[in-house]
Amino acid sequence: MKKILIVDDAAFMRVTLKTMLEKNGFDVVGEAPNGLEGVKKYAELSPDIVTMDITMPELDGLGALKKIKSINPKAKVVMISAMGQESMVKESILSGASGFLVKPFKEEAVIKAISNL
Amino acid sequence: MSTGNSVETLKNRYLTFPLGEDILAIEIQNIVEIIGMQTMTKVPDAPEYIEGVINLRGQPVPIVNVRNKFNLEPIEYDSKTSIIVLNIEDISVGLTVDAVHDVVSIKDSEMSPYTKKGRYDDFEYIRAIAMVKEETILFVDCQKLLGIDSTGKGDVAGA
Amino acid sequence: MSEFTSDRDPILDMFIFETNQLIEQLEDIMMEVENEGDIPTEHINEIFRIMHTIKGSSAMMSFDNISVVAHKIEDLFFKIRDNNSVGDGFQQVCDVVFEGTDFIKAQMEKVEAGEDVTETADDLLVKIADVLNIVDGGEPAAAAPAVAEGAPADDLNVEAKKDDIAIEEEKDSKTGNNKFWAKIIFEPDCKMEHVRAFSVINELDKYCSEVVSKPKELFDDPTSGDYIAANGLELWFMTGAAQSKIERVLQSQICVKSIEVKPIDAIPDGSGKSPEDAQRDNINKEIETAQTAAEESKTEASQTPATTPAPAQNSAPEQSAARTQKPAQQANAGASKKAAANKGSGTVKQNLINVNVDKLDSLLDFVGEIVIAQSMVIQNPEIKGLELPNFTKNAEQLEKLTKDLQDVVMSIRMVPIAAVFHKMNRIVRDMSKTLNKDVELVISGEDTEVDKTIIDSLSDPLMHMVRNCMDHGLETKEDRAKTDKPAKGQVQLRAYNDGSNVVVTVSDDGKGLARDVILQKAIENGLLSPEDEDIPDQKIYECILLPGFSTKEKVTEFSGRGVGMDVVKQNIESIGGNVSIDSKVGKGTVFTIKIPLTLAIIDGMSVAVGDNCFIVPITAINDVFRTRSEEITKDPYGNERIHLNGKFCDVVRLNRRYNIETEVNDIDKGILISVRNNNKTICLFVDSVIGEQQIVIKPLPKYLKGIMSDRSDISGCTILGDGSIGFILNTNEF
Repeated sequence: MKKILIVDDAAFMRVTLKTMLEKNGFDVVGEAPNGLEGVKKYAELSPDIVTMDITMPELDGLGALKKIKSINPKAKVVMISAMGQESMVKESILSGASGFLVKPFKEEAVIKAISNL
Repeated sequence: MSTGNSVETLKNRYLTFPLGEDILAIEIQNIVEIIGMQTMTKVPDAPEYIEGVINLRGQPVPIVNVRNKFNLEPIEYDSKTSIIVLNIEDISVGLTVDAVHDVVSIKDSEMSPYTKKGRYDDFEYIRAIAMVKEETILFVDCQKLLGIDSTGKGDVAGA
Repeated sequence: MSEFTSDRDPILDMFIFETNQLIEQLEDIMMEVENEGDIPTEHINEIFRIMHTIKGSSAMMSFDNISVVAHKIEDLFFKIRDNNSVGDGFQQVCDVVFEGTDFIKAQMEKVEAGEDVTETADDLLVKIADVLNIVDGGEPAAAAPAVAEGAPADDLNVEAKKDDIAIEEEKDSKTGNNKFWAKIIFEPDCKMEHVRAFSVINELDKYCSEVVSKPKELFDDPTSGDYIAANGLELWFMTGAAQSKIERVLQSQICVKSIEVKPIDAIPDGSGKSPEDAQRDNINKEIETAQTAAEESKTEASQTPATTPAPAQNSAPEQSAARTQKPAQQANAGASKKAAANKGSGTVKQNLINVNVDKLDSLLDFVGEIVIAQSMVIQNPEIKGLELPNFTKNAEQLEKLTKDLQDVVMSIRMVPIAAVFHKMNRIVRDMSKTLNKDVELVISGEDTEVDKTIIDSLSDPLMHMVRNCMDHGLETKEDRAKTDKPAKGQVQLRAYNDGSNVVVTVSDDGKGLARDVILQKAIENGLLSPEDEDIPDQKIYECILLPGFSTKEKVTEFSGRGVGMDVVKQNIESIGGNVSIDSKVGKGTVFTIKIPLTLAIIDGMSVAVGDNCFIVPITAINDVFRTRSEEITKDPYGNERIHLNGKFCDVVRLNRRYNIETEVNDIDKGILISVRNNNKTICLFVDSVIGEQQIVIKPLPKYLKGIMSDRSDISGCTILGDGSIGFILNTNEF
């Protein structure tokens, strides 16, 4: 049972992702509404995978990714991006993100992606 | 490779390319370069064989469709379609051809005059013929093809 | 070996340069230190700093073996700085630093040679650890791989060691010789395919050296994403990893639908060219080599005209009528300025240099290219319609600078026309005497500057025209006395700049051209037919510029051989200009020469007609408007007219005139542009107005000019922002 941490400032997204993941046998161990919280929760919970929204207050996805990577270089972080965020996604990949999904996404896409990691 | 006769050597080198079922050849001394297909701008009210104008490094170069000049049906372009950019008497023109083959050396002695027996009797574009490795090669007279006379004016004949 | 670029990465160059410099510095310091037998504080700090820098930059470049060694030495000197002493370990410190430097130097050599940089320095690391112990007053540590800095450090170091091994493993993978081709198909509609491709390549890079992708440009090519979505991503790469490992790595990427991996023999050209492109490149190379070889043997064979430039240079200001030796002509712009100044008032000392005209030509060409490139940036379809205030501000600045640059460059080649004008003085004077005519030469606008090459081409034609005026235009003293004109006849030379042209007029106040006589002669020589009786006067006068024409019954010493005026027309046209003639019987004749400025840049309005784009010079436009079909009246021949400002103007549908297909056929749907047509106004009907912009005029390709020789309504063309060609209209010729 893989442990997932969901980081996204939209409550709606968090709920949606949590539902999708739990339906498919993943264990959502935590949620965070911004990058700062996300990093804290990561250090606390040590999840296997993090889904990371890109645009968030306090600390954005890219910043949080970098911090998490410095805690654990092997951390698996999947960026959740919207169309048009090309350069941020590119930066994230260079900073060690395991991949990215583009909103809006279908359940199968998310599950397949997370399962593969 | 260059003996004392380097200028001669240049004269005897030809670029071969296919046209329908035949193989044609052009002297490379008139060739500036070969490029792939590019976006062409149509030229208003120009004869059918003028395919358009391209932007070659900031200079407009008119393009002549060789198939059209030989009255062949036009075909779809693909990645092999090329443009042979020529400079004759200080006039720059490009020719669209179906593909380009090789640069070959053919001596004058191997060439015979073209005696109106083939497909292209009516055109004065072919000036000579040669058999090379069992293939017939037709040598194009670029100036006649493009209607460039020695005063450097384009298409005086208006074919 | 495993070089995937032919030129070195400039960052790598920087790293090599800097690191080598630092190592050299370090060695110098160490030699000094060893001699002294002591390490002063400033040197301790310097050594610390150098190692710190090398540690950082080599880690950035992924040369971890260098980084680790530098790190250890940095730690050592941190300790020394802390203790402010080397304890008993002076000699050992020196030794170990020298060894470290040697190791790093050896690795750098490998870097420069493009070889793999993977050698570890375990023994050295142990030694450094020992030395650190000694410095710290402790015992040399046991032969344990960890650094003696306390327990927590151990964990970190074990971790580090594991990472080292992992890095080693990856490095081994990287340095293999297995070549593969892979095709990755992403899930349909997974979006941002080009970024996914980037992600895949980024991951693959850890295991491979030399990755070639198709499409080649992921971010610079806006079509790459669509291409990948349609055709998949193709990769060619070299690795030490096994095929199964590669397949696992690729499969584990997000949104990958399917993959295909095959071993191959060779990796295609790193530039990702298609085989057809590669073939064309090869042919081009062959052609170039053959042509260069022929050129070289030609110049060897013939005598080099090395002596001619000198005499040409001396005669340039005086006899530009002589052959124009374009290739090696020295543009002694200063000399002609001086000559002109000398002829007029006293000498004017100016700071001048000699510049080869070819260089100036290149410079001008580049400036032209820059203007085009700048407009391609500013009009890039990708930013069309976007609100970009900051960008727009900067773009405007760029546009201004480009214009300024262009102005300066053009001014470099400009020479006042005074010199040419003053030459005519002599001609008028001599001919006055010979022909017994009382004539004075009046010059105005001699300060008008004209491009150097134009000056050369103007000289002859001007001479001919002045001679013509003297010979045919001006009356003899007796004839003149019969008129009520002043006794002294005048030949007027005038020059001015009208924005896009230099206009030179040669006029006389003589008897004017005899229209009917000329018409007669033209018909006789087959230049006109009897039906042409009613054509505009100007067109009849222009016949005297055609070859083989002459109305003079007698051939005089100066003109009348029928060779003069047509050469004039040719000369002027060869520099892109034109000549027109106007005349009034009894009043005089005017020759007007218009020469476009070499790098003609005008303000134009671009309009769309079907797939074509036309440019209408702003100076010709009166108004741009829409109208209803009802406003257009048709005559029995189908000609359309519109009532504007109390007059009827012809409406010219550009799509009909130029046989262009368009969907805009209703007057209501298109745009009308009212333009000047000589003294009239006409309206052009177009699909739409694209915009107003500065355009660089390129002359119509010679080949097209030959085919479309009557087409004087298209005066040139330009390269548009999207790389296509726009045609410039001359509304006076409609």
